Amino acid sequence: MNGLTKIGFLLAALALAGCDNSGAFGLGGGGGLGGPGSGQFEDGSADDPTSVAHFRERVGDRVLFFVDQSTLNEEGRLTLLAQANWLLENTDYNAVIEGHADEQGTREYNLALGARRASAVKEFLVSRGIAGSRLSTVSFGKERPLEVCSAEACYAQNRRAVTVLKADVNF
Amino acid sequence: MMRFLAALLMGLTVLGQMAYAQSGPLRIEITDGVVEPLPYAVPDFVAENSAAGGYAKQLAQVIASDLSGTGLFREIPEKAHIAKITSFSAPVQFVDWKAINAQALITGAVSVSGGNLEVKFRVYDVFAGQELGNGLRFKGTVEGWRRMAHKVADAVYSRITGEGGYFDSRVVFVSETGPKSDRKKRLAIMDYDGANLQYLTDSSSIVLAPRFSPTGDKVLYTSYETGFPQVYILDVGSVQRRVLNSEAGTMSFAPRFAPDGKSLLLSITRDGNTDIYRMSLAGGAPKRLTASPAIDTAPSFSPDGSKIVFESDRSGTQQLYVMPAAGGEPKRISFGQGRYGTPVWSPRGDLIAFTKQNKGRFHIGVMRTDGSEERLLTASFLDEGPTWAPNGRVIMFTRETQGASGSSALYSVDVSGRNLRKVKITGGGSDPAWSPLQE
Amino acid sequence: MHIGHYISGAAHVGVIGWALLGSVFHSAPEPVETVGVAVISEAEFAALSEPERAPAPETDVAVPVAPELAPSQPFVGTETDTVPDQNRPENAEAAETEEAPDMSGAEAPEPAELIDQVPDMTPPSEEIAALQPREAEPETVQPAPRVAPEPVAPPEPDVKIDDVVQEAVVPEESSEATPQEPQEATAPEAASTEIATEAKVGAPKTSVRPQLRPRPAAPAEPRANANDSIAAALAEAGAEEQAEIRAAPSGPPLTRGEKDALRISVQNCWVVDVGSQSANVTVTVGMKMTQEGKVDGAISLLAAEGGDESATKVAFEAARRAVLRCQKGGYKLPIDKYEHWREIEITFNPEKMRLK
Repeated sequence: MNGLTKIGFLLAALALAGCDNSGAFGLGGGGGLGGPGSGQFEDGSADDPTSVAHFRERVGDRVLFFVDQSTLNEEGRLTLLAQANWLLENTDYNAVIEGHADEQGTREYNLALGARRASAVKEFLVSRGIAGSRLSTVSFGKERPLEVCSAEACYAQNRRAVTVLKADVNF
Repeated sequence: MMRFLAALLMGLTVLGQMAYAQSGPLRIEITDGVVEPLPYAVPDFVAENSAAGGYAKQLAQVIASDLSGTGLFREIPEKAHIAKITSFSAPVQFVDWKAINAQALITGAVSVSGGNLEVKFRVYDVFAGQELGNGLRFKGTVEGWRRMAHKVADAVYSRITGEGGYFDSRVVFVSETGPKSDRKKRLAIMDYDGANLQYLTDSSSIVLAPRFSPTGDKVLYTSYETGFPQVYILDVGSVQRRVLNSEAGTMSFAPRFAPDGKSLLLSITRDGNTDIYRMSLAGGAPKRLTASPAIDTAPSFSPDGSKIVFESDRSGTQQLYVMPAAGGEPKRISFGQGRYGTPVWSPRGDLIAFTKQNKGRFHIGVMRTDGSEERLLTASFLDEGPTWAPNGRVIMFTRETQGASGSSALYSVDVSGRNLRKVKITGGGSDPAWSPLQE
Repeated sequence: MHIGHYISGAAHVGVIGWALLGSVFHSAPEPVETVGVAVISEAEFAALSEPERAPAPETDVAVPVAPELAPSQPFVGTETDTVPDQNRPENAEAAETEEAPDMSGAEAPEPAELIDQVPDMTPPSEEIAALQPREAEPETVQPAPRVAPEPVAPPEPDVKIDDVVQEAVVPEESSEATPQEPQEATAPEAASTEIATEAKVGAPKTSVRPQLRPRPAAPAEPRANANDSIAAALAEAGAEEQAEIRAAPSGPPLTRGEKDALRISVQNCWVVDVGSQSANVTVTVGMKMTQEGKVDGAISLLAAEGGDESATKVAFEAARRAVLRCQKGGYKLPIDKYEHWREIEITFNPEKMRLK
């Protein structure tokens, strides 16, 4: 990948991330439009664009998958572009990507499937300029469901990959 | 020509029939029988000294529980007996046992001296009026009385069915407590019938799918102790454990011992791709056996160690494959509808048990090792993870119920599909693994 | 002879046992592991105990057993006649116990096909496993405990299981000249014609059945029939001639119906363990018969195919049990044709059973 295309990707990523953020901000009351550290919000709250809470709630820390799939869908790619953007800006954070599956599968297969999902997320983030060394992956298979009903509404929430931020050692 | 031959054949047959009709024995062929439990009686054992009094009844009860639990035998309760066994050496009055339709009779005696227990028993075919095999005697400590009972039951089972028993065996499994969203899991071990439960780990990290060594003294399992799933080996006696594959950035799981107990198979995930590896317990780097970009996992050796059955989604869905133990071209063996996983080769070598997922339901099934004669034994919201009894006759597995309050339990089923039972354990349980018969 | 070995063996066992016991095992208060070493194997036991068992029970037991096989041994009749509860008080109204169920409501089961509502006929496990506090009875999901050639609807819960359907007979208070023996109601045990696994019973209708190998064509039944009837006809024709030659009652050969009656009587007692290796073995057994229709002497194994020694032995034992158990007072065979059935050979072929 040459420098030019990289920049192109970055611009695209920023543009898309912007769209995504504005959507999220719309829900949050538009409080985040100010620059970072402007003092218009409490440090560490979701309104602080450098906070973990902001990453979780405004950027979106998870992407969902279709049944038995590990390919990213449109919505997932938008979320990940925003994540990439955030990680590029906040280099003090590393991330562990946790892959999960719904309960409709055997234990071992679901572990492997969760690993595939986590890996798909990692590859995407790396392709958007995040250093691979900042990202690690783990799968929980079906061991840690978020929703516990045995219906598609819950399964859909459980087929996920969650980007969990870890502060760098010196932070 | 064919007609002529047929007529000739017919003629010959008729001649043959005539010959039988006139001089030979009457011959009949029976192709229809019944499948039902065989009624038996196991009167209280004879206490040969006063210290043995407490065990005389308990032994008979555990033996009866073992035998009746197979679904192949039905105990005739003591209250229906019209005779008592008061002496182990006195001749048996078969007429008393025929009268209550007992087809097998088990008599025994027990004596206790110091901390030791001695158990003797005999098995009779009541209607043939014969002893099946010779009397046998077991010695052990009084604390091990249940094992003595299991040993007697194994011998009885063996003499009546002609197959090895499985009662003197243990099961290692994952004990589960807490809600579905925050399950606490810990390794536990118990007798096959749920007695003598002990915990092998605490519940501080997720543990999965323990597997016995061929001698039953070691257990392989997967633990999230470090935050990442990794394969551990645990000594059942000392409860000491160590990690086997701690490569940074990789996940390892789905371990299973080779029949020689010196190496194991496991799945390792690198960059999102899961393959099957073999590694020596003595150390050394794992050797990769599969090399597809698909999920290859849940490997299990054939009992002779020459082949490996595993699951792979290389075709697009989870299916079962068999490959040589050293790796090599896998051959797909499952072709029915749905997805197939968690194959386990039976200790008899004749069948492969598996989990099948089809149309929103899960099944435990068996097939021949070439994939033919597929038979589904169970059906539920979620059944998975079969394990074979040491004699290859019974399968234990995990059954999870649905919904927010769903919980998991251990079930067993005869390989014929009969006798589905819930295993008696306290709390929830999953991922059972049956030990070999104990020495 | 091998005293040195015994001593050595015992010492080893002791040392290993001590070693196991001595090891730190904080999580296991009960030294379950120690037991194994003290238990000797069957073979070892046989070898060890040979000398000291010389006057031991085995021989004592074997000797008095023999008379049991005597052909004239009166055989007990049906269960109903001989089960101990028959000597329950004359007054059947006595306190209801499990042995004396309420007979008033007992009647033959209706011919409904309700294989999944069978009352569990096995004795409750509380009776046999009350060793330590247990959870509830294991869930036995067993649609029909018995699989038989003909389906049988489940009997009323308090009806005793027997081959024969029998109305309950309760002696009336104002009993008349001929007092009736109290007769317990009996009914055949419920049975389905195939093994109803959960996968078959519980699965939704849309679920696809597992693929089986193509079912082998039914054993050339029609041809056998034809042969049988032809043979019967031909034999019948020559029967008179034969009757003159023989001294013993001979008569015409058995009709197909008479043979079928025997076949059905025996097959009802032939219990096949379909999951076992012995279910792959076809055995042919031979026996001599008394004029009363009972087996005279031992039943012998004439031929076997399809399994190893142990599987063959079990298959033979199952066949032998079938014949001996169902003979009851004697098989109903026409006495005037005794010469045709004084020797009988029965082939037990479980092939069909395995596919159920």
